[in-house]
Amino acid sequence: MVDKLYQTNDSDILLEIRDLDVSFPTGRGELRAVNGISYNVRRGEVMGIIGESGSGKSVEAYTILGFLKAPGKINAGTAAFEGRDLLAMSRRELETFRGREISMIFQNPMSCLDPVFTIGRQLTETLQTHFKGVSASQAREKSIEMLRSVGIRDADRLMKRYAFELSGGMRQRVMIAIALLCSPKLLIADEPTTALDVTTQAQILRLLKKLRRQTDMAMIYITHNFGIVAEICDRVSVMYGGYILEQGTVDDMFYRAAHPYTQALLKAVPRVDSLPPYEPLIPIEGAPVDPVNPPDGCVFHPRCAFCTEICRREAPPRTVFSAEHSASCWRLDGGAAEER
Amino acid sequence: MKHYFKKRANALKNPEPYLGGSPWQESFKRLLKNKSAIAGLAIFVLICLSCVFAPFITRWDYESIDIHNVLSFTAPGHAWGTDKLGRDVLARILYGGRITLRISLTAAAMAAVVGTVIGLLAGYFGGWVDFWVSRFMDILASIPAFLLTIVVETAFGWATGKFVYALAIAATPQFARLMRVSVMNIMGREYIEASRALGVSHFGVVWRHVLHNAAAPMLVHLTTCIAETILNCTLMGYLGIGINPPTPEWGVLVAESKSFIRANPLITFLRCLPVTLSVISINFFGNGFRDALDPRESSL
Amino acid sequence: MDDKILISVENLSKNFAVRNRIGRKTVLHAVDGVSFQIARGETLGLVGESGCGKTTLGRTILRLLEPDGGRILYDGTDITRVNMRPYRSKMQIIFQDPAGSLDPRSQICDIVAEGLCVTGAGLSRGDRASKVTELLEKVGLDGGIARRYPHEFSGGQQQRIGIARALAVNPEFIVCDEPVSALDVSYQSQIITLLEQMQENMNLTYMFISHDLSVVRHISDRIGVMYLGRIVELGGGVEIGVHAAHPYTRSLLTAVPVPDPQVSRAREQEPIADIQTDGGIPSQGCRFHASCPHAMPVCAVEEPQLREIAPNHLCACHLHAAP
Repeated sequence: MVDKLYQTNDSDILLEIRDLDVSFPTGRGELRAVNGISYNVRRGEVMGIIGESGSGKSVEAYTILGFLKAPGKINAGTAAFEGRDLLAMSRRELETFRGREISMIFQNPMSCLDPVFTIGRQLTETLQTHFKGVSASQAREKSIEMLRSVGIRDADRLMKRYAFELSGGMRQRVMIAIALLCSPKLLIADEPTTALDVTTQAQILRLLKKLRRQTDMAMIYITHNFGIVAEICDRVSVMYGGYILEQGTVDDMFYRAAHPYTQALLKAVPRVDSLPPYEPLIPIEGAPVDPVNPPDGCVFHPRCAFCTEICRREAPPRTVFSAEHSASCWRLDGGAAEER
Repeated sequence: MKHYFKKRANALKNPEPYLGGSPWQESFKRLLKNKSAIAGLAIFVLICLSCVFAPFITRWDYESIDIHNVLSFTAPGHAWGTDKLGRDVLARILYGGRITLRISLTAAAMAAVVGTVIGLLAGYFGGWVDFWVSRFMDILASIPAFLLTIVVETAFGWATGKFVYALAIAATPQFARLMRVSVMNIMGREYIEASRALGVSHFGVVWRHVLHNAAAPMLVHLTTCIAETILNCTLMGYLGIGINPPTPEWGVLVAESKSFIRANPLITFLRCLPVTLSVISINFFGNGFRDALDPRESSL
Repeated sequence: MDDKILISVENLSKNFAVRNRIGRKTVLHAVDGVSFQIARGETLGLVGESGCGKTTLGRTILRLLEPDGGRILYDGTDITRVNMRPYRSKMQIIFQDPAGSLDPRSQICDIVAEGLCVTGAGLSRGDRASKVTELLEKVGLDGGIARRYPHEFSGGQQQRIGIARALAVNPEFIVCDEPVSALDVSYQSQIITLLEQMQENMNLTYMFISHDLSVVRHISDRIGVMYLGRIVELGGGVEIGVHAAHPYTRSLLTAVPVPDPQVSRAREQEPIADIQTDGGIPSQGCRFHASCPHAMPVCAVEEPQLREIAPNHLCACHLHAAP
C-alpha cells in the first residue's frame, strides 16, 4: 500500500522522520526499540506521541537529537529537519543545532539544571554560547524577559537563586525558559508535567500553549496521558512496541479511533467528568510487548480482542483514512484478512 | 546549555542484560564474565595457597642459616637466593606470608563482624544510640592505625593476638559507617514498611530484609578492607611496632632489606612483590565484585 | 456507635520535626486535626496534591507512624495507644512504588508468605506453598512464578504481587497509597479492576489515596479532599465531582485534563488557580486563603471548620458558612 501521508510535498513540514529503526544489543538478544517509524511535524503544530513505557516513544525522540548512547544503534532511517538530515550530522554540528533550532524539556528538571550555578548564570551562559557577541547585560535582560514570559513574577530575584531552592513547578518553568531562550523552531517535551501536581501541570500546559501561539514554535509532546493529549496536541501518533499503530488529528483519535489499541486505551482510563453510576473500566489484559522478543505478526495481537489468524502471522499494512488519519491493523484492511 | 543536554543524555540508560536467577546468582554470573576480577582472585588465591603449602615449595626453613651462602643469588638450592644471614629468601617470604595473611584476614573478618553489628544497631534504632555510636566511631576513625597499634600494645601487652585486635579496631569504623548508611537506606524502603504492616518483629525485619540487602556493599568493602589491612600489617612490621623480627612478616622483611638495599636491591624488590601483588589483585577483584553486585552504581 | 463504621478517626494529628535550610528546627503539621469515618465495605478516596499529608494520614491510621494527637478507632476499639500486633493482619497497605515495595532479594513466595509466617504460625510448609499459589492466582498471576524474583516482573505484575501479600493475612481494611500512580495506563485499569473485584469478593474496606482525581472518583464511594494537612471537603462522588463547594476542590477539578478534545477546547478560557503549597501553613485564617479566588476578609482571620452544607457533603469554607 502506498503511503499517501508521506508523499505530500508540504513546504510547511519542519521535521520529517522516515523509517527510523533503533535497536540495542543486550545480553539476551537485540532489543528492538523503534521499528521503522515515520511521521512529520509541521511548523507551529504540536505532535503528540502517546505510548506506555517501553513503547519506544522517548528513545525515538532522543535519537533525533543525537542522544542515543552506545550500545544503541540506528539501523535505518532519516530525520530531515528543514531538509537537513539530523542523523547524518556530526557531533559538532548537532551541538550547535541543539538548543538553537531544537530544544528539549524533560520530566525531571533537576537533571538539567546545574545545582552549583545560579539560575541567572545558567540562562545567560546558554545565550552566550549560542550567540557570540551578546554582552552580559544584554544576556541578562533577555533572560529576565524570558523568565517573565514563562510566568515568573519576580524574575530579578529568581536570577540569583539556585535550582534546589525552587518548587517543582518553578524549576519546570525555568527549564522551559532555558529551552526557549534561543527561540527554537522545535521543542521536544518528554513528559514535562508527569512529576508535577495537577494544578501546576495545568499551568505548565497553559503556558506551553500560550508560548506556542506567540512564537509559532512546533512541538513534539511525549506523554502517556490522554487528557494531556486532548489538551495540547494537534496531531497524535500512538506508539506501541516500537511501532506507530495509529496516527491522526486529536479529533480522529478521540472520536474516530480505528486501531483496537487506541480504542482500548480510551476505554481504560477513568474520566474526571463522568457521572455515577460509572461505566466499568475495560482493562487491556496482558503485559506490554517484550522488545527483545516481539511477537510475530502484528505487535499488538497477543493483547488484542479482535485477533485473527493473519494477525499472528503477518504485520498489518497501513490503512489510510484521510490525509492525516491512518492506522495499521488487519481489521481495517478492507477484507484482506479473509482473502488470505 | 551543554551540561543541560549531556546530563540528560547520560540518564538514558542502556538496558541491562537479563541473566535470570536470583540477584546473587546474577551477580555471580556477571562476576565470572569479568576477566580482571577473576584474574585478581586467581592471583590472590595462588599467593595464599603458596604460603599455606610453603613446605612443599621450598625445602628450607625460614630460620635455617646457610653460612656458606650469604647475600648470594647463585647459592645452590636457593631459588630466590639468600639474605645477609644466609637464610633462604623464598622460604622467608612464603612463611612470612602465612603470618601477614593470617593476621590481616583475621583482623578484617573481626572488623567486618563487629562493624556490621555496630552499624546495624546504629542504623536500625537511630536516635541517641545512633548519635553516640557514630561519635565513638568518628573518634576511632580519626586515630591513625599506627597510633592505635601502639596504644593497644602498650595497654594490653605485646603479642600477635593483641596486634590483630589493633588492626581490627582500626578497620571497624569504616564497616560500621557503611553498614549504618546501608541500613538507614534500607529502612526507608517500602518493603520494610510492608513487613511492619504485616506485624513482623524487629528481629524478623532485620533478618529477612536488612541483612540480606546490606550484605552486598559489606562484602565489597570486605575486599577493600583486606587489602588495607595487609598494607597496615606490613606497615606496622616495617615500623617495628607490629610483628617483631626475626619472625618473617612481610613488613619486617622489607625493613630488614633496608640495610643491604645497595648491595642487593633485587632482594628488596622480591620482598615487596608479594605485598604489592596481593593488594593489587584484591583490589582488582573488589572492583569487579562491586560492578557485579550492582551494575547500575558502577556505571555512574 | 454505629456498628457499620469500621474506621473512625477523630482529630488525628501527626507532626514532623524538620530542619529548614539554615538548620533551624521547625514543626511540620503534616496531618492537622483530621476526622472522618469509613463504613464497612466502603471506599473512601483521599485526594490532594503533594505535601498535603494524605500519605502520612494513611500511614498514621495504620500506626506505621505514631500519631501525635487524636484517636483512631477500629471497629469501635481505640487503637491509638495499644500494641498493634493483633490488628496488623486486619489492616493492610498497598504501596505506590511496586518495585520498591518488594524486597529485591526475596523470592515471590517468601514475599507473599511473609504475612502467613506471622498469622498462620501453624501452617505446614506445603500448606503455605499452596496458599501462596492460591493467592497469586487470585490476583491474576501464574502460580508457577513463586520461585522467581521481583525484578523479573513488570510494574503491573509487581503491584499484583504486592496486593497478594496484603491479601494473604485476610485483612478487612486496606490503605491503597497511590497504587496506580506509578503504573502504565493499561496496568492502571487492570489494577483498579482487580481492586474492585477483591473488594466485592472479600468485602474489603478501602482508603484509596491518590493525587489523580479521575481515578479517585472512579473507585470511591466518598471522597475527601485534603489541603495542607486538613480535609477541606468530604462528600460522595457527585457532591465532589459536580457540586464541589470548596474553591480548592473546584480548582483541582478544572486542572485535571479531560481526555476529550471538545471538552478541553471548551474549558480553554477557564482560569486556573495558582496554588502555593510550599509556603507552609499560614499562622491564622483559612489555609487556602492566599491562593483562593474568593477570599474574604474573614478568611485571613478565622479558620473555617468542616461542617455539613448538604446531606453527605461536608465543606470547610466561609463561603458556605451556616446562615
